Amino acid sequence: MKQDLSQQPEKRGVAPSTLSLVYGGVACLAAWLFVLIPGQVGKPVTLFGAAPDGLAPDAMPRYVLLAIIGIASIGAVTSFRDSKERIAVPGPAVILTCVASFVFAAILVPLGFVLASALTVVLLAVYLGGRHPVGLALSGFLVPLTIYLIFTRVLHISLPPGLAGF
Amino acid sequence: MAIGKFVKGIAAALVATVLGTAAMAEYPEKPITMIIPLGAGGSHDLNARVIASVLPSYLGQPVIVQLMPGSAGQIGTSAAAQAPADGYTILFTQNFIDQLQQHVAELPYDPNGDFVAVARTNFAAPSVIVKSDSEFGSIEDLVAHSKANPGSVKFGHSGNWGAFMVPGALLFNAAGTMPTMVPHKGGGPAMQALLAGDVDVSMAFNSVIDSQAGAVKALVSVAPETQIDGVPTTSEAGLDGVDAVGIMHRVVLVRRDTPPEVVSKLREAFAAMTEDKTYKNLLKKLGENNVYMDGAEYDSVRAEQAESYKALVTALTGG
Amino acid sequence: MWGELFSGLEMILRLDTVAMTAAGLVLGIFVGSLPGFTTVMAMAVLLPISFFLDPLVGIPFLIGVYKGGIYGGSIPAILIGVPGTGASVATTFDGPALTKQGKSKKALEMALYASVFGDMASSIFTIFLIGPIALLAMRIGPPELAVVLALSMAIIAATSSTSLTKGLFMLFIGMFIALVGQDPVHGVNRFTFDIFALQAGIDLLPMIIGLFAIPEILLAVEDKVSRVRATKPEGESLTLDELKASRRTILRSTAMGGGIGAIPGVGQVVAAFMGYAAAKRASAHPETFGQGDLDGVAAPEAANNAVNGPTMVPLLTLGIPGDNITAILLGAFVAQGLRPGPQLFSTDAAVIYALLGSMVIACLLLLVLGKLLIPVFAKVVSIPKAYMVPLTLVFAVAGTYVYRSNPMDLVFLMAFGLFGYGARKLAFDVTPLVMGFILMGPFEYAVSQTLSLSQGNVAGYVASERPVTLILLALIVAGLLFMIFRRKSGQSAVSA
Repeated sequence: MKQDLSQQPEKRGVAPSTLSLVYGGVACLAAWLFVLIPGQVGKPVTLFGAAPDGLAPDAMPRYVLLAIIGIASIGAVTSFRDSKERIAVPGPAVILTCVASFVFAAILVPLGFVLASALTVVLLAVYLGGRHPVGLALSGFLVPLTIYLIFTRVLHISLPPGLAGF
Repeated sequence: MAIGKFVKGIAAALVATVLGTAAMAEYPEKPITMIIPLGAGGSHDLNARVIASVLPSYLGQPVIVQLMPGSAGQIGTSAAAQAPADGYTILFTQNFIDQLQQHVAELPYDPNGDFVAVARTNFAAPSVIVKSDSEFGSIEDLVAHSKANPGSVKFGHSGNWGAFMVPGALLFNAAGTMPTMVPHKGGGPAMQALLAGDVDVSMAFNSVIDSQAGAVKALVSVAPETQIDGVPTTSEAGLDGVDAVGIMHRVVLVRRDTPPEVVSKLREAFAAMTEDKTYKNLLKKLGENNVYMDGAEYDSVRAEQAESYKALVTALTGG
Repeated sequence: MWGELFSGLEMILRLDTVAMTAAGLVLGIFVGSLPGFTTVMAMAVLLPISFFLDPLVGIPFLIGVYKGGIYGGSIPAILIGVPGTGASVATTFDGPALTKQGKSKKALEMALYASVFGDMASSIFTIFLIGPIALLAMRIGPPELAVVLALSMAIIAATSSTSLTKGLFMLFIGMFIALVGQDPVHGVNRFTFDIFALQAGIDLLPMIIGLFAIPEILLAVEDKVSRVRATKPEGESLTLDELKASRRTILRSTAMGGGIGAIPGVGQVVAAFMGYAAAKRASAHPETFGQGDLDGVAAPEAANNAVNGPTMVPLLTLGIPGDNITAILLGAFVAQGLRPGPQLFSTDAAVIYALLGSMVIACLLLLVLGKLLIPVFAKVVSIPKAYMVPLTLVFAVAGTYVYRSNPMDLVFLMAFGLFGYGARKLAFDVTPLVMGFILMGPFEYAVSQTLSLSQGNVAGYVASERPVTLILLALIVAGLLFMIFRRKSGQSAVSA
């Protein structure tokens, strides 16, 4: 990975490197969160009118956000003139796998573990080139079903039952 | 292939819904999920494992334990409040989560409006403890010292608004003094802090005090009856209004709008379980008592708790 | 002591104890190998079984589950890059790379040998040094813990990354993520943006599965050619020479893990990362770390298992469980009528030695069972990627969900997945992020407790009552100076 990135040295004068853009973005985000502290950090309950002992809840957030702003600024400045790395654009398979995981996460609870796994595994496997019916049946149905039964019936750990209803 | 399975699943679900409404009297017909709003390995988890291994023989269905810790119990409780009111999701919680949280946090549920008690399976009574070589021989010594040197006594408890902080605050409040409160992540770390001398006083349940074999001594027990021979209860020590609300009740709740016949079936199952030999034996081994209280009776206790915790929080927070 | 030790060992050398320990190991390996099903979960579920067994059968059974679970967690870490438990995250740095080279069998065997050695050495060490370890554990209060945690974070940020800026950047982000949710001291909400599900905070499990497993899956599909073919075969067994070559790494990691285990509240995850970082620093060829170095598997595995012995000490000597695992063991002890603590230690020392001995026996059995099971598990790599990738995805997502049934965790999982993918593309190491995240909570808690205990005068309190804190602080300063010096001279050596 590291070699891939360094293989593309492409000196550009003024344009900031990707890395320094990332640092800059995070520094801005941290600064925004820092401004939000008074509204986003609750006030501790007082005991008999006196503030409780110990560290105030907003102390650590302040220190940590300041530290992020500091280090990200250093990073942005020091990497500004770095060679402009060419970040490979993710291919369609990567994007589709990403989408598939989002979809699986979304349908896991409503459809249930067994159905959602079957759908995701079979569709994704077919897309990735798995065409063997036995392979599809094993990975799409038998494995999720076995896992489901072992965990809910033998070990009494809950998995989403969903539409299948068991 | 997947589509076929999908259609079948929908069909099965439809059939189940139709049959389910028709045959509600036959509850339960599928496994029951018991939500615990606390983490793995704690005393609540251990109690739940005992229940989950015995209750199925009285309900005829397996009991699946689902741990949902977080936010001082609010995460699990709100999940139970959102689950369908069909009796297939029950909540195994304790009184500080159930009744105290509403006075110290904004809750997305209403504990008394949303839940009804199925059973109080047992309770645990904490005692105030100090190291055996401590200069404090009685609760009076401790209170007198704390009054003479305000803030010098360090009280280590198991976490804010938890099972030791609440009775501790109640007790010292009744005595008219307040130590420095030092929170710990659970009873174990609090005990270690006491043994190491980081804090001067802490609280513990009987089973834990026993295992310390004389390394700690109890000064007073937060309980209506004597817990340890020779150790006074809070009312015997002149500290009133502490014992009723300071002990920890382990309770099972379901949604209030669950069909009444389902609630009574659950209550019967729990009542029958508490007479079970294996159950009694296992609880005894865990060092827990088996003082059962039925749901209807405990519901009135919950109403009382709501009032006293409100008063406590008002008193403590000075507002 | 010797008499009690031998009578203790006699008590557990029976067929039923050995058989149930083996059963516990197999169950533990199975559950631990599934991502999301933690060792704690497996133990809690199997705890009631131990209630019905004889104490010297039931507790060794649970110890078997415990040890099997930890080893089980490293199996998916090596084969598919999905950490089964937090302790096996560091194993995903080199394990999957070895699998890609067709050395999965070697990696699994190295993990087994390193685990067994680390665990056994620490158990034996604990048997002989139980008293001193107990004393040390008592000396570590909130101020000392705060210092140790700060030191751990500094070491990881400085050693794991290619540049100090990148390391600190990731560390601070991890620390911030840990602050989201309900503050553990006062119970007030922080950065929840009024989203209820955020109140419980972000959990470690969705974070590590997201950061380590999802990018691995995405990188696997990127490589189009290898998708249809079966991956590499499981390859040859580990040779004695390869094992010998890693002996220094294993010994170093074991010592580090044992030391970390003696400090309450730090734990296996930290030990694994520290062991890895140390092995990389000490290696003659640090550039092979992360590309599939057997030392990179041996280091975290020996370190995380070496934690096990000393963590039992507070439980056995004081009756205080240091973590969830020992809390469950305490439940098992109590249910058997044994109350660990000073009393048990003075009246039934033989029983304690019997239980420590059963940890050693469990290790030996793990060695045998692991040897038998590795060929079975190694077969996983012969499943074509077209099926393996979707299955891995399902395990990663479902494993995250079952952990605490919070749908919000799935959102975190995917967010961390994309973050991890981006971080890899930009050559960021996410280890400091995970460390900052894990250590921030205890660190803030310990700092807050220190402030409470000192009643406003921290410097005076530390100086007058906590000499150990001062010693640790001095060690940190010395250590950091040493590291800076080493880093400089190391860099010049590389450039020369």
